Amino acid sequence: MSRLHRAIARLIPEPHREWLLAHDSEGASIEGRAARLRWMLGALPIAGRAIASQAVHDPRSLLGGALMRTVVVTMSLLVAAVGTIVLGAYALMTEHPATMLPFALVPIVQGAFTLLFALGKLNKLGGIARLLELSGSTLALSVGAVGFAYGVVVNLTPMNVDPEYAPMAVSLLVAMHGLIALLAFAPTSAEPVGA
Amino acid sequence: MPRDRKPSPQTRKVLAALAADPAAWRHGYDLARETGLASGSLYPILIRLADRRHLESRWEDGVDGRPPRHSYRLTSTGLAVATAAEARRLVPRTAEGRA
Repeated sequence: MSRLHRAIARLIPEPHREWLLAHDSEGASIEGRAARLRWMLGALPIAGRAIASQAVHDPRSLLGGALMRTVVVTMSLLVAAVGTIVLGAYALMTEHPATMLPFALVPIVQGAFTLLFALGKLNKLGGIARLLELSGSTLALSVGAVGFAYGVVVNLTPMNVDPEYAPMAVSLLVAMHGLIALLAFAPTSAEPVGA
Repeated sequence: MPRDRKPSPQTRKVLAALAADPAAWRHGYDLARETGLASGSLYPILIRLADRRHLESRWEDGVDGRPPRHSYRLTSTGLAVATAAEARRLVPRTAEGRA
């Protein structure tokens, strides 16, 4: 099985994983390197179609699987990076508004913790890590949603002539990350991640 | 339950290729060559047809040291869909509008 197919096949749950194997097996019958490469690149749209089909027909099969974990890892990196950028901006400011610090630290802590949890680096902590991850994600979802809603209300206030979109964006990102982490980890058993 | 929409031109090509000899099991690469579709277009169509139970598939043992291959053929409902799609294609638009 080609490396590309192996990497993608890990993300796609049964029964659609079989389609990738089927596609890959045809590669041996194709003459010419360029034609074979063109054929193999077809694995990407096939994976997209397989995931979409799975999401429509059996959405529960996507929860808690490798695909969700990959999405969580990617989002955790993004959230932590956004937090780091906000922290950098805070450090460079001449004034240091106190309200800005939580907007920087919360995403960094949330992103880093979830990343470590998703990669199985906190398995030695046992159930505590899972409890912290799930409660932290629930809190992030709640606080992020409230922060986003508050931002909408404040920006819609006619008196406010200088709308602020950055806190809203960070709140939305934090809420989305919390939601996806819950979808990825809540349905799985209490076994260590990656076991 | 998936909706049965009017098949796209690409899906019609695949249906026509499979319906040409409904009893024969066909391989993905052969279908791609016959229809002129890239594998990234062909396989999503095959997945959709299989999800709708219009297509059956099986694994065949590999020959000459090659890996096992997946092969496909239409089910009876798939054949009916292919026939209907072909009939719709052959009916001129004006006649269809009058009907």
